[in-house]
Amino acid sequence: MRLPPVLLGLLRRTGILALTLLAGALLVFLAMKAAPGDPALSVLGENARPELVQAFRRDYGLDLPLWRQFLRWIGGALHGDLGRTLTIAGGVPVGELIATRLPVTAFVGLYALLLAVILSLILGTVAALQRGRALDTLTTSLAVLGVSMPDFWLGYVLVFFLALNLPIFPSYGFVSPAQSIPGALLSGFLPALAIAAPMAAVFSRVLRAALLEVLHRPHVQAARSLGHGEAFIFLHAVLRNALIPYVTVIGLQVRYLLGGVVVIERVFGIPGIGSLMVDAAFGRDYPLIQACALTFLAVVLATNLLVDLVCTRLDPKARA
Amino acid sequence: MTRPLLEVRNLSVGAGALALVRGVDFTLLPGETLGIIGESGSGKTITCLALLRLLPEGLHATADAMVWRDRDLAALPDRDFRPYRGREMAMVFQDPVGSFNPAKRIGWHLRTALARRGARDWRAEAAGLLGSVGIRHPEAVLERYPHQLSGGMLQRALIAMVAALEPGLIVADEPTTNLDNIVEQQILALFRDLRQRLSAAFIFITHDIGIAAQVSDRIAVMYAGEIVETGPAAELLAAPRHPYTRGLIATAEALVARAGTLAEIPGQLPAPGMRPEGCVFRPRCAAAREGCEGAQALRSIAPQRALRCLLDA
Amino acid sequence: MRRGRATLRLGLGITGVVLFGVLAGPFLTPFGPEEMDFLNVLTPPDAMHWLGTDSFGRDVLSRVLSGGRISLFISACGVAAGAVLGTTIGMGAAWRGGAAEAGVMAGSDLLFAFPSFVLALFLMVVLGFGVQNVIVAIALTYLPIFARLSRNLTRTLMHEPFVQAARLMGQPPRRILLSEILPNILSTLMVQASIGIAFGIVIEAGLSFLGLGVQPPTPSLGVILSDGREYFQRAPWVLTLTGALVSVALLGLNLLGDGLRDLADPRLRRAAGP
Repeated sequence: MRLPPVLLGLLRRTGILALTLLAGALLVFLAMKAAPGDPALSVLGENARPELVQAFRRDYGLDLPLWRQFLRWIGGALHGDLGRTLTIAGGVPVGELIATRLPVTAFVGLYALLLAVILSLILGTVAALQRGRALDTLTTSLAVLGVSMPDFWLGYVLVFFLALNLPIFPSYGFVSPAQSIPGALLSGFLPALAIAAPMAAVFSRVLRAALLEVLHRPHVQAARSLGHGEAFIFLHAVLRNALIPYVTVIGLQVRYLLGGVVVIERVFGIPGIGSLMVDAAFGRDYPLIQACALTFLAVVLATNLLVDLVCTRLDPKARA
Repeated sequence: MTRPLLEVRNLSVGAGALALVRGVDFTLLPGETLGIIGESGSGKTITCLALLRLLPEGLHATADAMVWRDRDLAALPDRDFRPYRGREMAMVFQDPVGSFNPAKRIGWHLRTALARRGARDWRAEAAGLLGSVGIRHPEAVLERYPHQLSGGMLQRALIAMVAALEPGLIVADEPTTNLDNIVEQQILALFRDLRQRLSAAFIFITHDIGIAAQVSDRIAVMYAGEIVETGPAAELLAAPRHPYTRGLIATAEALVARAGTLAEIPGQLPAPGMRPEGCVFRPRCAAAREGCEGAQALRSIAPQRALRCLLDA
Repeated sequence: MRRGRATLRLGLGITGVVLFGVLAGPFLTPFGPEEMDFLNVLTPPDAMHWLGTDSFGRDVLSRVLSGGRISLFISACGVAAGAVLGTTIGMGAAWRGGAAEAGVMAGSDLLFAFPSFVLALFLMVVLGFGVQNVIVAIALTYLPIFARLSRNLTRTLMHEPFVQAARLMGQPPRRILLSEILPNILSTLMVQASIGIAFGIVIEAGLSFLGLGVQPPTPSLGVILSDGREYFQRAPWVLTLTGALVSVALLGLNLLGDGLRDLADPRLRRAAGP
């Protein structure tokens, strides 16, 4: 049975993703093991009784050889069992904790991405079409400024100017979409905007450059010579061909997005994976930190795969 | 006496203060093919771009009159000119590969072109058009992307696309320069066929006199931004009057006859800012004499023939 | 081109002022960054305290200048370390080629797949909190970026005639890499470095803001912002103005990087990729 090339490509890519994830897990695991300090002692205290320490070690499999510990961890992970937390939330299953927090981060992240895309489509198009004129300089300067602001600071400034003066946006706390969609959209707006602003800045510059490059290609003039309208030409001949570099950059920025989420969640009190990881860092909760790092890695790899597929779909030459 | 399809009077194109094309006059009858010959840089392409208002940024055109089917379009604002492009006058560019949107299939290109005409069942028509330009398996080609077709096939598809619009005038800018000789002849045959089917007029831009001879009813010779001679093709080629035209034909004949030495026109085409006063060809003309430093107008020296030279005055 | 020059000049100007401020500032301000004055707690900006005072009565401007120096130092060290290591790895990988290159790049890409903050948090747990580990975190964040950049550039230049000539003359690889190739890619690397230092400051600020990096009372930008957050309602100017100054400084660095990039060799620019 011969599989269609699209499916083969997808399988190949998924395989690479799985391998990379495994390698990442190994890296995380080894790094954790290299950390100074004994998790047993750090949880039970320096002067804990030896029997308690032994029991602890047995419970968490710390007395097994390294490779067995790793396999145990991986095996568990495939079943969704990532162990229990050491110090956070009193020993709940890590898998459950992450499962409840991940959707929140996903919501805020996607919200931010959406805002960034909308903002950059507008700013980038305006800058490209008004090239060399006042609007172009203005939007480009905004873009450079956007990249220069620490996003958590921007979050606070937004809170100060918007939330405290206009009661529609709450300055703290987060309403989950499961409870109330309008609530989630409102409470998530400022955090999402804070993350989105620097990203929108980068996206607009790339879009502007891509649009300008495509505008000079001969097929644009050819379309005009056939008498098509300017809006039609912009949409199909210009923007459509500028999408490939644009989407590529969006993919590259996901790393930044996930990094920004971490601090913003803390600032706004959003119960997502980011603030979970910060708590884990403070609490030196090794199983939780390992699982969080791995989760972030998985999200980044999955997003890269998705962007890869979209780019292949967009570029007919790459589909061969 | 049939009314002219297109009448252009005193068309000039400039970039700022620099004049690129000056004082172009010509008339085109319905169904007629006008061949414009000249070297690269003589202004052939820019003149036609100006006709269709496709000039690149920074260039502007002026004309005393541009009468299309008895309507003077010279003063029409750009926005109102758009309906004329494609449907009334269309252009086939030199590089067929660059004329297609790389992200869209051939079928999309034909469908959107047909949509301008308001055609319904586009697929059947599109396949028919592709078939009429000699493309085998047209349904399959409709599904292809531009990068999957050869230059020759794309040129055919481009002609099909232009044919879909059914324009009254087709401007072809060196459409066969990038093709090998066999394909070239096939494409020229297509143009002939198209001309017959649509009863369209053609403006054929080329630097190859042989091609011009094959396809044109009338020929206009351009040099350094000006038309220096026009006339019926056979007559002009048999008995050229302008020294530049004579030089061109002599060179072409020498090539064909594989002469030992090539007849050559000494000197070079002057750049737009470096054109001499008076007759532009004077520095390279063997027959230059007193009086040539003055401005030379395009004069009608016989019915259908015009000349910008004081020889034979 | 004119636009590039203007950007470069503006970037140099702002960065110059900022550098002067953080290097010479602490000696020029009348107040020390740790000088407390409990009579003037949380005063708004005035003629004496240009940015006001914080909850301990410390002059915010002095703290910002001092903290700025520390943040800049941390970021610069981190980026420098990452650049040196990453460039070494990248150039070596490009020179070796084959499986070694593929393997090294795969490792570098894996490291790159971890978001910077996530990597930093993880390292804080593994290595502990504190300044040195912030530097390590920043270095590891930039290592893959410089590795990939230098590898791409080296790959392009490796086939140039002057490199082939050096090879034929029998020069050892290390010499070729150092004296022939490195000088040519240095400008592109510098562009990346200046943008990197800007973002490195953001990383440091974020980590210290969360309490994981520089520990108070040592001022760093993140620490000051964190303090400012505590009394944001009562005295919003500390956080707002500090962040504004940081943004201006970063703006200068970014413009500098942009301006340098506009002047860089277009051939190398193309090789560097998006």
